[in-house]
Amino acid sequence: MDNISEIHALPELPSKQPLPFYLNPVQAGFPSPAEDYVDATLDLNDYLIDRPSATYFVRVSGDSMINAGINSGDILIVDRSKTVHHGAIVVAQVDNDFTVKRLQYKNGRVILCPENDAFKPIVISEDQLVTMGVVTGVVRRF
Amino acid sequence: MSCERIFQPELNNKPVIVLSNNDGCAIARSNEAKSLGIKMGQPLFQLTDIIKRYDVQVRSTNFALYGDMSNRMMSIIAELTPKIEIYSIDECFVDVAGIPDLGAWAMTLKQTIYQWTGLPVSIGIARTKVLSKLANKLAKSCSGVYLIEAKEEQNILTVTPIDDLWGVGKKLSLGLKSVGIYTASQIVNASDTLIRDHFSVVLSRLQAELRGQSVLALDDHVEARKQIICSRSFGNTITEKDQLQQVILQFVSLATEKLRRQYSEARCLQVTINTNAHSKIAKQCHRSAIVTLPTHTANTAVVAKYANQLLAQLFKPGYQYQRAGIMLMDIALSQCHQYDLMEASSNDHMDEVKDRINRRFGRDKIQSARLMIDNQQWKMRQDRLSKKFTTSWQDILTVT
Repeated sequence: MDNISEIHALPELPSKQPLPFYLNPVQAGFPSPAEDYVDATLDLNDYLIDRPSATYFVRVSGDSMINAGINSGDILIVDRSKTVHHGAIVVAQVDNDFTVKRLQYKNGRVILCPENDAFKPIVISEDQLVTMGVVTGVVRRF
Repeated sequence: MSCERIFQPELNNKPVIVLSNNDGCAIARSNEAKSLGIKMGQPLFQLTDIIKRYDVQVRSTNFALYGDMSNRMMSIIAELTPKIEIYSIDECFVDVAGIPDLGAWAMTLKQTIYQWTGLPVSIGIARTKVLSKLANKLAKSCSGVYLIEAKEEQNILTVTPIDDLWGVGKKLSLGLKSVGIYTASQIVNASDTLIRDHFSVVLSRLQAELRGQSVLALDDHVEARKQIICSRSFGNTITEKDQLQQVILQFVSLATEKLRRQYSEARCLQVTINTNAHSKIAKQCHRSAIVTLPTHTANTAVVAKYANQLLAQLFKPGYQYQRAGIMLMDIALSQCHQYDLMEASSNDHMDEVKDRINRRFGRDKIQSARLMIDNQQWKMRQDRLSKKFTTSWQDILTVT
């Protein structure tokens, strides 16, 4: 801490401080008969997300998964808590980049399959596979 | 460090450092950075050569990212365990009484956290908080989980230097060494009279904890802070009094909240304002003043009032201020002080409500109106901030 260069006595402070004071008006009248039947509003998070603490969002760039209904610009919902399995759409880490593909196990190899004939599958060994999680949904706005 | 690597795999196997507030010095280092000899707390300007030569990756502290990842980790732990106390952004205590196979349970917890977040954690388990902190230290150098069995405690404490213990700071350490105590087991065996005559209740609680008697409940800490300091350099210098006042009020708000969180009150307030000491061109000004408050208090409005008065006396126009700070001293627990009859009984209740709302909905959701004016001027310097991968739609990861 720095050296203390000056010490001052303070002038007296006012001992009272005015505070604004508001009162809520009390509502009188009949309670709404609908009150007991109100449902919670629909929340898309409930529909799209199973486990908030394990769920991440990523944005798609490119058309490699277009036949799986995933377009460039879409937002994917990725759940890290789901177990990666044959046939799942996953986000995998390949050479420091992240890619979304359908996962297939074949003859002890891992194939990251695009869903677009213009793209080639990526073949790696099982111990090379690093996944961020399983894609559980896609969000698109028009 | 782990938070950065989860979303930036290009940082894997490379030396990485994370900088403190305002990009001042290294506060987190990857193992690769440690083996280059980069020290904890080393200032950035000393590292320019090393950074260039070894392509060290440098990141500013990314509060949004670390905060969100911390939140995820804590909620996973809270989901899987009955009672949790969040101790800091990356540490928590959990009550594990009644869980049968603790070793296996901890391993599962560790793996779950890793799978769901990508964060590697270490877990230490023992009979008391102090012992579990020690177990955690041991866990870091093995598989990430360490369970200290009661019968094993003595052997471990014999080889544990006092400086490795939770709650033993510089001052206590010197005090202990001056009476010939160097290891944890020496504390265990120290006589009551020695402890009572030379040390405070802090050490007797530490002794009890080391003996396996749990005296610190969840939410109970070894030691309440004796001083609370909030001090920061600004990205850009400040010349106006109004801006400086906002900064000081923000500090008061933070410091008094800390005070209330440890159920204590302060009697002494210091305010400091400084120009940039390293600048050869600008006029220099280092001023500081202390005031004794009429009573012990943790009330934001009361402390703010005095802080404002001090600032009014300290402030001189025509200087470029680079740093400011406040320090609260003479801190006592809330119950044990005398009230001043003449001092207005103040709105303690309002502070409590404010703290609760902010804890629930996030920092600064509610603050005094004075603090909400534009604070761009004194924002921290964060030149190497990574993206807010989990909290901003613009910043989420791109996949191909």
